[in-house]
Amino acid sequence: MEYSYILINILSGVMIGLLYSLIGLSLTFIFGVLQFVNSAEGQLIMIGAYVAYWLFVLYGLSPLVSLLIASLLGLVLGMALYTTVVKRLMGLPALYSLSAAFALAIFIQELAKLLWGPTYRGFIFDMGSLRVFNFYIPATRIWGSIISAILVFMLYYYLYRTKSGRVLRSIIQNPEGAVLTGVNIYRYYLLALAIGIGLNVASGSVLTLYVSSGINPYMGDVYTNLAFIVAVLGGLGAPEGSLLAGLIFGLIESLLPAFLGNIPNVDAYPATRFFMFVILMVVLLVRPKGLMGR
Amino acid sequence: MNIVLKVENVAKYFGGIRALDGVTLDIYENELLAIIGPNGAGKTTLFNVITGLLKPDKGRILFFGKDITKLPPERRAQLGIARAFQIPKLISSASVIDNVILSCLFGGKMNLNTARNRSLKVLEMVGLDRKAYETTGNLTSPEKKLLELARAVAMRPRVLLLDEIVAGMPPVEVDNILSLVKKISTEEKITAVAMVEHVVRAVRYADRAVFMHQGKILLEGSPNDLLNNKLVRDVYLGEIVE
Amino acid sequence: MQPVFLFRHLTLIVSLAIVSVLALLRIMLFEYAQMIYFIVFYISLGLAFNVFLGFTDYVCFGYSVFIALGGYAMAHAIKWFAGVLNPPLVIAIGLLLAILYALILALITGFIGLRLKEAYFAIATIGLAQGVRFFIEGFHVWGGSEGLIVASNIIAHYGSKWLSTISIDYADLLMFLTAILSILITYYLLNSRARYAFMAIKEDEDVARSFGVNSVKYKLLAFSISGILGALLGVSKLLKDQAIFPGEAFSLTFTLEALVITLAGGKGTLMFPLVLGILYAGLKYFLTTMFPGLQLLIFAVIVIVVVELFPEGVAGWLRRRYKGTLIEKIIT
Repeated sequence: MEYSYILINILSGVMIGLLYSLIGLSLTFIFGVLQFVNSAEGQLIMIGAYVAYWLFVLYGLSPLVSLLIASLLGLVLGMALYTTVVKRLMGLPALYSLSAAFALAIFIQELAKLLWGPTYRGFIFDMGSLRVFNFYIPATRIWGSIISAILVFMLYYYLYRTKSGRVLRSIIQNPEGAVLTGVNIYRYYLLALAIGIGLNVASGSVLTLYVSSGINPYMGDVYTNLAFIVAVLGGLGAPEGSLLAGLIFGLIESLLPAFLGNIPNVDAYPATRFFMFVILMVVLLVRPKGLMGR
Repeated sequence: MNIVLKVENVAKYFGGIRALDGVTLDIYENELLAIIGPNGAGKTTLFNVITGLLKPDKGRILFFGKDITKLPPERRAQLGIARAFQIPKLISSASVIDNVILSCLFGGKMNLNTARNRSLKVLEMVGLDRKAYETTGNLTSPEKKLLELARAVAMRPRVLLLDEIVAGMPPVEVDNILSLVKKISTEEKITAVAMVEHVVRAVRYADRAVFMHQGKILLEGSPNDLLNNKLVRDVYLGEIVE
Repeated sequence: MQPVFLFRHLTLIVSLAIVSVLALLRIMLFEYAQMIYFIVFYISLGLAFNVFLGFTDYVCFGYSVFIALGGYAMAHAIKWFAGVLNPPLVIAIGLLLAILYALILALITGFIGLRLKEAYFAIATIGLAQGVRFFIEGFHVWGGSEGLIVASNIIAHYGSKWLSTISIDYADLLMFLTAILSILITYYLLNSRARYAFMAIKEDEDVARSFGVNSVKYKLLAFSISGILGALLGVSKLLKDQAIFPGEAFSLTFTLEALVITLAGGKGTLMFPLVLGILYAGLKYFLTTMFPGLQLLIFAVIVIVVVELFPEGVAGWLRRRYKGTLIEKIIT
């Protein structure tokens, strides 16, 4: 194995890992504040990808701009979701919010199919590439990684350096206690879900900077599972863990197929996804709290 | 005298907080022990460690000399450690007697028939037999406390941990429930440990008392001695109500 | 004896009666065999799923994995033993294999997941069905992504007459037996000491444990039974379809359907998932003919509406409507 080949894969892994950190962060942040498992994350990413697609195809907008619109859409969707679906479910047994999120995922998926058809869509957005050793890294991917990192750190900054962010962190750390502090907790739940879903849909647009083809209503499941693994690995409800977990996972996902592809009679793609599942199970077995969970 | 429960140098930390900081306590057979201490002293954490809902970071729990520190909560209940929770978490949709039968079947390891009979008898003891088939959700607050007591007693425990059994009760109610506790513990030969925060009245029913503060046991002796102790009075800062 | 106890027999009798009527119709009106199979399938799905959801308040989102395992088990039995043993015996082996596969998966997944809270379990099970699917496709076992087709094996060793006997009579019979078994098991769990354990666990697991209930054991019990019943469903399905493909066998659609049936009916009851199963089959048939392509969308909306407005389902609504009366006590 050539060293440059491995290095490129590592670089690739870090770059996609930053996106994965963002994806996992959305899920873990929403769960941390609202105790709500956003099983529709993948489908909302799909929406974000479609936003980038349509805005490019219809108005020629670059995904870099689309992601701003996607974030806004996500913020609005988050608020709408809170008031219509999530609010009433808080305090009820978990099975109701879990079922609702699951049904919501299927609803969004089927609605997308109804509106845009099941065909695979894609677009080509070229910003040139950077040459590293003998490989070319598309500039869009570099931008994607930078933006993912910015969004992740923006949330971290918000949580650790602003007043309302600190309130949110206290809610994460002590869900029951927070209600007693007299703060208007519903405002914060609404805020958290808006921010979380905003990041969620935005990450769908950011995704198109990495991969701008294969956009279809059923693309979401992969990303939901990915969000789960990164969130659990980092610590479900512990936003601090997402960055590291996303990077680790990105690296594994980049390096594993090369490894598996060498084994005879093994299909690298489904085998890698199987290992993703195994990793999730192992984490749940050995350290369900994850890396930074309490 | 037999030591029913021995807490040996137990420590429990939550991040930087030392909820229990080296607690050692012997509980003797058939006594009624009162644990007093202000809010946050570690009393609930101690109960949680004894019943197994929390694992101690250091130390052991011995039950009749047997090390139970690694046992899960259900095993400890089956061995004879019962707990009445501060806020009774009863099955509100079920009938009153069903809540008691539950504890007989599992904690008490009885079969369905024996469980039914025992449940009726215990409900009679606490005065809830008339409401045996009522929906639990319809009971008043004091009645729920009695039911909580009933189901803890019904499983024929050796030790009964009473978690703030008289919190927020008027003096008459406190007397009622504590004389009931004393009566039942004597009849059923149960060792009772009552954890109370404020009520002095309650402490006077006990045979022995222990004062907890900031995760440690600071004093031990007869209830009167403790209530008149300067340190105890200082900590409570005049909050002691007669 | 306590009056409520007697009334629980009533729902058992009604449930068995409904299934018997369907069985009678199946025998007498052969032209409706397909539709009746469809109905009994959804009755069984609802009841089987309810054994776990209704008694523990946990949701196994990857439930289709059990149905798929049942199908694969039966396919294995046919592939390995067709021609060596006579068909009824092969089917019996298939059933035993299905129970074995389901039990192993349930115990492993349950051991990992059921010690954790519902949210973690949900995350684990959403990935479960896909996880098994990717193992099959990635490592080319059990037919890989091409799946398994058993029709050819049956025709080759037993002739085409056996093929229709198996895919029509045996499949239907097994589906009815699965429904009856599900009814009996649900009834038993509602009337044994297990009922108290489940009630307590649902209310507060820590408190239940403090009163001596081994919560993990009971959760595993409900999960395994539910999984095994799902596998039996899968056995019948394989005999009916004569083939199994990982692309569709592991889909999450079954979970959505099961959720509609159990939540709208009334989780944890006996009669209501059954009745809702019948209604669901009817609704699905109607939607498939009138508005094809919209079913999943509509079912997803139904789940959300039920969860928001009628979380206890029809059973809960009836209980509240007849609160305090004798009828309230019959609702099980």
